[in-house]
This record gives sequence, C-alpha cells and structure tokens, in this order.
Amino acid sequence: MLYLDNAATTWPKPEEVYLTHDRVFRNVGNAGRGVNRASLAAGRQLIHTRDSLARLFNIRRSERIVFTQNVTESINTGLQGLLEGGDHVLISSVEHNSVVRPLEYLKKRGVQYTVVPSSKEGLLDVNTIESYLRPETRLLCFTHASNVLGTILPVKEIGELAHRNNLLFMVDSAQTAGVIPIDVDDMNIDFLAFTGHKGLLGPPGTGGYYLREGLDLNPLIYGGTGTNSAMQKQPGIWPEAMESGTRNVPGIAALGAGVDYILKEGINKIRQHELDLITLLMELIKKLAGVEILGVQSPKLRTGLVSCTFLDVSPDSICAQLDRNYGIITRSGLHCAPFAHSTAGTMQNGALRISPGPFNTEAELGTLYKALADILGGENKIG
Amino acid sequence: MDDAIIIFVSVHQTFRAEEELGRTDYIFSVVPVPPYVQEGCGLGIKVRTINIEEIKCFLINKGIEIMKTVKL
Repeated sequence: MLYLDNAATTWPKPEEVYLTHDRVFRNVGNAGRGVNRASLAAGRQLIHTRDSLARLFNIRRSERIVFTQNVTESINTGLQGLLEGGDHVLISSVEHNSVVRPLEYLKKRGVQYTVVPSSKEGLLDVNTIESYLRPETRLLCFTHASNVLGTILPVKEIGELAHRNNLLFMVDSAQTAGVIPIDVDDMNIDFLAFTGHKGLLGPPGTGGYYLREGLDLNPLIYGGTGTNSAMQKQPGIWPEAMESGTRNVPGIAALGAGVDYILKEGINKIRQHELDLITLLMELIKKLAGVEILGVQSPKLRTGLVSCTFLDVSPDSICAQLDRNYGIITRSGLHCAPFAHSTAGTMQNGALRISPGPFNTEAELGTLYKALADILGGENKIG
Repeated sequence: MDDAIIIFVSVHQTFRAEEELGRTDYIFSVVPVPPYVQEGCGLGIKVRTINIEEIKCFLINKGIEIMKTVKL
C-alpha cells in the first residue's frame, strides 16, 4: 500500500508511538482515580503529554491544555462553551463542518455567524475580515489551513486584528499542528483546537484544546473528574474540570510520543520535507493534461496536500482506480468542507486529494505519477 | 521532624509538585488526602521535614498552587 491520505490521518506513525501505546495500555491504570501506583502512573503520562504539547505550541502553563477525543470535540467545546445568545462570529469560506455545524446549531441559542469570502484559491485578506466586524462580533474562528485547498490562512495577522478589536480568536489547527509552527502568544490565539492523529503523529481518538489563562468556558460534558468528589457541582480547576470521564491514557501517552518525535526532529525539518514533496507533487501533476490543481500555486503558501480535478473523469473514479489497481490511497469527495468546495467551484464532483506525510518519499510520488498517467490514458495524455 | 500533607488545587498541580520535589533531597510521597479534609483534589504530598515553610516556598517559587497544609 502506498498511503497518500495523511490529511485524513497520518500513517505510519513513528515507531515510538506504537511502542508507547502498547506499553501504557498493558501497564497503566486510570488517571486521577485513586493513589495506587497504576493510577499515578497514568496521571504522569497525561502530564508528560501536556508538557510536550505546551513546548510545541509555546504555552506557558500546560494545565490550560485539555484532552478530548478529537478536534471536532475541541471546536464544539470552544464554540458552545464560549458563545452566548446575541454573539456574532466570523469564519472563513473554507471552514470544515466541524466549525459550521456547531455554529448552525448555536443559531437556536441566538448566536449568529458570517462567512468572510476569500478568493477561489482560498486566499483571505485581513482587511476584508475587518470590514465584516459588527458591534456584537465576539469571536474570530478560522482554520489555519484549508483541508481541501491546502491554502494557509494568515493566522498571525488575524490574531493581531482580534487583539486590536478585543475579540476572542479561535484557531482550528487540524491540518497544521505538528508541521507548521504555532505559537499561541505570537499569534494571539485564545483558543487552539488540535487533533492528535494527523500532524502530531498520535493515534485516532486523541485531541485537545488550549484556552488562554484568564478566560473560562462552560464544559461540554459534566461528571466525575476524580477530584473533589464530595462536591455536587463541577470543580472549577483546570484541567480536571474540563476532563470529566476517563481519558484515553494509552492514546494520550502515544500522542506524547508523537509530539516528542516532532520536538526531537524539529518542526522546521518536517515542514521542509513536506514542502519538498508538495513542490514535486505539483510539478508532476502539472505534467498531466486535463488536470487542475485547486488552491494557491505557491507551495510555500500551502500545507501538505494537493487537491485536483480532471477534465473528463470524476475524482471518485480516479480515487477508486488508484486504490483498486495500484494500491495507492487518496481521498475523493467533499472532505466534510462544502464551503471550501463552493469557494473553489467544485461542489458538484468534489476533488481528489493527495496528501503525503512525513514518511513518504519523492520516489513514491513518482509511482503515483505513473499510475495517474496510466489511468488518464497513457503517455499520449501527458502534457 | 514532623509529617505533613501538602494539598494542591488539582491533580495536575500535585504531579507538578511531585516532579519538582523529585529533583531535591526532600523525603516525600504522593498520598490520598484524609477524608476529614474536604478541600483539594483528593491527592496530596506527604513530607517529613523540620521546616514545612521551606518546602512550601520552594513549590510556590516553581509556580505551583498550594491549597493548604495539614500537619499529621
């Protein structure tokens, strides 16, 4: 199998991630549930991963990091926990359904949102965002990079805009955490939502969020935290107040191993490898006749994915043929982001998304190119 | 030498304190908080020392939030 669907979930993981999951799953108990050695060992695993994430994102106090199952749960917690009736939110025109659907639900509570238009390539002008501000605007909620177009949004500039206007700033880092540097202070990020199983190289079922010190939100889930058990009310101390119910300790420990791998390798080295692969991938695709690459053409303005459409063939058909006949894994469809496809003009047929990861090679992209050329009609169709 | 339990605001802070004390020569262990103590996260750190204030100052200087101290 040649796996090129790392924007959905990275595969493979660093070996230490598998080893850590296995070791912790076999030997460790439930965090915050008593003072037995198994429970204490579990608690120490959580704090280790929290500290590693804090180093990666330049977060001063790691107790402001809360573990969830995934970035969707994190975004839901942020939107439902921060917003109240009468609040207004600005989002981009490339947001994922993980942002759009909670906001649609929150309309019932009187929350309104506006989509700030971007170019067909997903480029967004900060001045345009400013022009959409209203007196009741409370939150700017933007993805760091589109999961369809690959286009990176100007998060630092949006953070400055939020800071100047005393607005909350939430960032969905699903496609960038672990690959593109994120500094919550430098970018003025108040709420950072991340997933564990993509660029952070952890297992599925792990994710989390960071909320800036001095801010508070209502939990999405209430219940047992393993602390202050005599109290009927939810404790208010972070992170336990936000982590009711058993955490996925083996998964979170393995996520810590993934983050430690990134810290050891260096995020700039990982990003450079991604840039090298994306640059080559775009060059190869441009050699194929009748193929259009979505998003910006400069690799430096993109994250590690390339989505494309085909003149005479549906992306679904190409995706299926790559899988069935060549063992190459990609993803077609709408990628849970209809706004992004509307922006790109690809709502009808979607697109084929090719997303190499940190362990893919240039030679593997050559294999993909030959397969695509073969499917599209052989050498005579290569431009 | 007296025994005392330092009680923290959260499990996170308790583990943070354990980590910091692990880098010193203080004698300590993570223990359950006695049932008659209603405050805290349920975990505490039991220390044997002639100067509990010195340990508290050490932890506070490391940014750790202490809720209270209970002498045994």
